Amino acid sequence: MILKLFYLSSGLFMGWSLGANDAANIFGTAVGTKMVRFTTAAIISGVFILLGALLSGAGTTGTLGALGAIKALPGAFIVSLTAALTIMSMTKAGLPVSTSQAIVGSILGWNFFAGATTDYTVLYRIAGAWLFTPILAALFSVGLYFLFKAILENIKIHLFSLDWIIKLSLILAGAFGAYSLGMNNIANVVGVFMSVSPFVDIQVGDYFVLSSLQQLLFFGGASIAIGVITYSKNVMMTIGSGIYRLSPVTALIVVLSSSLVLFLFASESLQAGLIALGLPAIPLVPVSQSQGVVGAISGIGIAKGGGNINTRLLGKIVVGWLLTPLCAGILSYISLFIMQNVFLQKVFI
Amino acid sequence: MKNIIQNKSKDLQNEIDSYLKCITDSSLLFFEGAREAYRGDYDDAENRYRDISELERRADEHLKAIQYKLYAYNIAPDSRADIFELLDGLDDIVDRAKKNIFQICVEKPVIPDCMKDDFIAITAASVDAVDILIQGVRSFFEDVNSLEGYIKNVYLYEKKADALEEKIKRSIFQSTVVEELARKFQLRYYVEKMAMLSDLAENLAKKMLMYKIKRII
Repeated sequence: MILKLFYLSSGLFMGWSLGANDAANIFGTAVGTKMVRFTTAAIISGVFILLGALLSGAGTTGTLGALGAIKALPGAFIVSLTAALTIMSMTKAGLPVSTSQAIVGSILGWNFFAGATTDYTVLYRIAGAWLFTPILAALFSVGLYFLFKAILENIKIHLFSLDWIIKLSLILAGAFGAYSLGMNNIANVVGVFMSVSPFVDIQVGDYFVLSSLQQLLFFGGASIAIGVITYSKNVMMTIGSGIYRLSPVTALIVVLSSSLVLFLFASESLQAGLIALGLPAIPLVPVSQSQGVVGAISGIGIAKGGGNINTRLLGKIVVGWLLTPLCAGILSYISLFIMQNVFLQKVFI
Repeated sequence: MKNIIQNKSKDLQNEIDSYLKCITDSSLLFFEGAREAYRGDYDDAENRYRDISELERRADEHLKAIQYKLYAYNIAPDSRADIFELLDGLDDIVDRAKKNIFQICVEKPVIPDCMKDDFIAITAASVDAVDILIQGVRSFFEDVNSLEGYIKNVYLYEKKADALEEKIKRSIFQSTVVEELARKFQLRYYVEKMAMLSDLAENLAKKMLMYKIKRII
């Protein structure tokens, strides 16, 4: 069991680093500009990420499971670890890197190493979602920008009352953002362990069964929450006072826009609703919160007349789209080779 | 968390209202005091000076409370520095007005009868600029979308004060009503000090416009 938990540790490390970095996208400006205290932000993020992961995280997790059904725990360990290492090194290089892209690259590396067939329909669906993440976030932020502008230009409200409303809205949007992050990005943390979960179903009382998947989602969600609480403060301060420099209202628009995108790509009930209405379904795919944020900020730049678009950053995203899965895939392939031939572990069945 | 759910801004709004009332009252008293001094009623002007000093003391207390509450309640963190600078700027205007009235009461300048109306007019233009500025400050807090109208009016009164300053200076130095050069210089000094109030109001109005632009999303 200890060895099994050790293999799970790479996923938990992935969750921890995701929490440390991505929660800053949700509450960074609010905390950095002192609108919301860090403790409040950390508690709300932690709780709602965990709730999102537990209640609605199964959809995107299933999609990653479909891309590569890893049936050996050491293989899942390497896939998750190499994705996390890729993220670390890409972040150091200053790229707005996506955990989703890293994990997909690592899974593809595993598919090549194990000789497993890659489901290209799923892969294209995932790649399409990556492409649409910043575009959709930009569209949402343009819409929200004009909506907020129209409201603020036509209401008579005291500066302090407005400040209070924005503060409350940032908290609510942050909670929604954290929930969306949990439901969408939990797949990156536990998706590869789905078929090799070290947990067994637990019967709680007469009516309730805590399934192995739920336990996996809980540990994944908890690792993200711990990442938020233990390590996201500095990242939040950097975002709030340095890189993005947003006003509280624009921060609210950015959080809402990027969270909506994550929600769209993760909500099973929304997907079911669209199918019931005979509309095309939105695929359940883990997408990048950071790239959603960059898209949303660019959207505001477009809405303001196009002067503020950071084309260099957008260029970096495109480079990241290609480089992240490629690096993760190569690293995964090499590491799987080492694990199999040096440590003599079965990385695929 | 409690700070966010509980809206403490009402308390701060009341404090700012009281502060602005002190500034408005000071401005009115200043005008009355200056008019009395021009007419030679220095005892009444002296009383106005004392009232203004008391109002300024109260305004200072309100300003300290505003500064404390802005930071302690964590209200409008992104614009609180601007808010404080704006309110502090109003305090500087009252301070200038108080000094002007004090100087008049001490020096008791003799204003020639033919210039008294112009002196009253320049003082009125400056006080109007300050009054409109205070209304603009209220609008900055309560209805920022109508702020620009007030700012335009401040500019208008400042221009009027400038024109009167020029006119009075010319009549001081070109007419023979005032003969001694020392008296000419003394009257010029008062003209400049009275016009200075509208200049301070104009500077603060410009800053307020910048603060408004910063608040646009």
